Amino acid sequence: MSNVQPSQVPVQKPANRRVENFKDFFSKLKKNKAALVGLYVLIFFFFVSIFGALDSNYHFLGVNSNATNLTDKLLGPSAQYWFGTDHLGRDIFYRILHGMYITLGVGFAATFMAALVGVPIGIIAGYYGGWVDTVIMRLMDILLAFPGILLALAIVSVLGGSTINVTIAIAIGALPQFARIVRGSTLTTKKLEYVDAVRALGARDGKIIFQHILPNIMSPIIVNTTIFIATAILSAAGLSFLGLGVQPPTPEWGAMLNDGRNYMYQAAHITFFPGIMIVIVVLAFNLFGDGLRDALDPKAKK
Amino acid sequence: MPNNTLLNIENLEQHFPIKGGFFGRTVNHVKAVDGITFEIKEGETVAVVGESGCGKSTTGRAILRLDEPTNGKVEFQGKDVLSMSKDEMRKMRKDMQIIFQDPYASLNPRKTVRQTLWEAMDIQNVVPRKERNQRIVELMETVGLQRHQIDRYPHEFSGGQRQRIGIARALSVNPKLIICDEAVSALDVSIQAQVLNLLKRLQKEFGLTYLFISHDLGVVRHIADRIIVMYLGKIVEIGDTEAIFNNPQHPYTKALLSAIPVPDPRNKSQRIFLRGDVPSPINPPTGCRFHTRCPFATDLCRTDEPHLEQKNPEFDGQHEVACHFALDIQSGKHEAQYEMYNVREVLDDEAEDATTAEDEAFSKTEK
Repeated sequence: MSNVQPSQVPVQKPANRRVENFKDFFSKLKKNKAALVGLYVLIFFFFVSIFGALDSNYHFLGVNSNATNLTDKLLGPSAQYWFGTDHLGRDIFYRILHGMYITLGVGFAATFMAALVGVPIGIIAGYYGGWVDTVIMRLMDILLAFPGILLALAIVSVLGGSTINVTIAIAIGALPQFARIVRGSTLTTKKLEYVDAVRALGARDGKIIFQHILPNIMSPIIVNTTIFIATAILSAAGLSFLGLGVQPPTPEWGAMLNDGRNYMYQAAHITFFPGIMIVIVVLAFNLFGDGLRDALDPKAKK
Repeated sequence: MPNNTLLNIENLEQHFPIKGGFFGRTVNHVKAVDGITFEIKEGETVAVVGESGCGKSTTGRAILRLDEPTNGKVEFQGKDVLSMSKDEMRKMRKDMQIIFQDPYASLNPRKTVRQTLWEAMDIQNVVPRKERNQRIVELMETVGLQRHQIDRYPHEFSGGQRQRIGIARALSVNPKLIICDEAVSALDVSIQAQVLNLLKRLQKEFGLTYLFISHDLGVVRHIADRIIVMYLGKIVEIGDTEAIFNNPQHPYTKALLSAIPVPDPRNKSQRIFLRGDVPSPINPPTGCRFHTRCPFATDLCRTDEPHLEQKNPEFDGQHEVACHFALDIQSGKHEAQYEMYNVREVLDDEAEDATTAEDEAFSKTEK
């Protein structure tokens, strides 16, 4: 009786297990209310960004977010203009919603680029060690020696100000962080006995790296990525504020902050609303990132 | 038992560099294994014993080239292992496997048992793909696990079960030699016995050869045919298990054996307490490495290094020892320089004296 349907057991189990693991992870995430709020905010922002990115020619849901209306300039928040208008009479509410995709896009793209280059670099340095490690990590130290914003400024002024160049500049600044975290995790993981066991079996380096090291260092990478998106968004806004990033009249939040700078005393809402939105996005990423870290921590298992 | 030499090790050295200074220069070396020579015959179990840090595990890892040895010769079935290219080595690894100490670290937490075993066979390409699932089930049953546990992750198993998975992984490529690196040390005593008996059974079934690295002399006596006693990177005594246990010749082996607990509380065995600590393997003592702690040490021991020799020619088996005075100590001609059995008690008395003196001083101040 005990060997009923032995062939079915192996077929069904693996799929179930993966789902179970995910459920386990999600139930832990759910216990963390702050992380959940962060997640919902991000999901909402994500959908807003899709609309923003789809509507070209400065339109957002059919409304021209770049339409100037000089009779209505510098108006405070009201029923007609929820977040008020700026010095050209543009509706700040629509501009913020429309600009969301640029902010999130730069954040995601810069982090993704940094991870794409930084993770392999870190793994190679950590896995091979020796002079490879020394050379790579000293190069990273050089990058790290510059303050992030200064490095980005230098790169943007060389490449010229545009969304893509800002993204590249921020990604280069983030490279050493990724490389360092990944190298550290690789160093601890490669000393574990299961890595020795596959080495003793004669596995090639590629197999060891992709099947044994990378899956086991994914959680620090994911957590770091989430939290770094927030930093990237801040840097992008900072660069735009300095006039080096996305050029007006694109409704980028940092650029909008810069627009409102001259009217700070008469119409504070022009800087306040883009500013508070940056805070909310960054906070949402940080809360979610912290929640992810707790949920992915294997030591806290059950 | 066939008498073909399976593994021949000559003058194996493993020196780990110590990096220091501003440019990471090599400042010194830790001489973890410093010139050891022995051989293992097909089908036998050779145990390596010694205290922590004497180079037991390092020896095992060096043989498998998990750490590249500094010097020496490792011959497996007559082929020089250390001069092999990466590809040759990869093929070679099929014949030499290892079982690790920590069953919690030796399995990838993200792979099920099936994936782990499949991968092992895949790397060495030993079993045709179609038959692999069948083989995995067989392996599970061989090591005493149920077939329904096949798709579980390591964290769903107990320590003993995980160790069995580790054994199954080692067996999956049909090796000739298995290095058991403290393979049962991390397990409960009852589980230890089960795993040891499993290892013994597998040896009979598959004609395996074991290099059994352990610090547990009880375990070693149970499983080994021959024993190698190591101290500070050198072999001090090597011989058949019974010879070592019944007639230990090196003072270090004697001390080691006297430390085995006797399961009878009334029977107070005479325990040898060694003085001091193991010296640093960075600058090992000159001459005999044990002279700093040996009760029998003389000036000769401090300058001349003893070599492994068969001291008793009448003994028909192997029993070599690296000690200048092995025979003289046995016959009583050479006596200990101090009372080696009572060192601990002397220390206890001293401690007692110290406390009484303190008490007196304390009562004086009270008055």
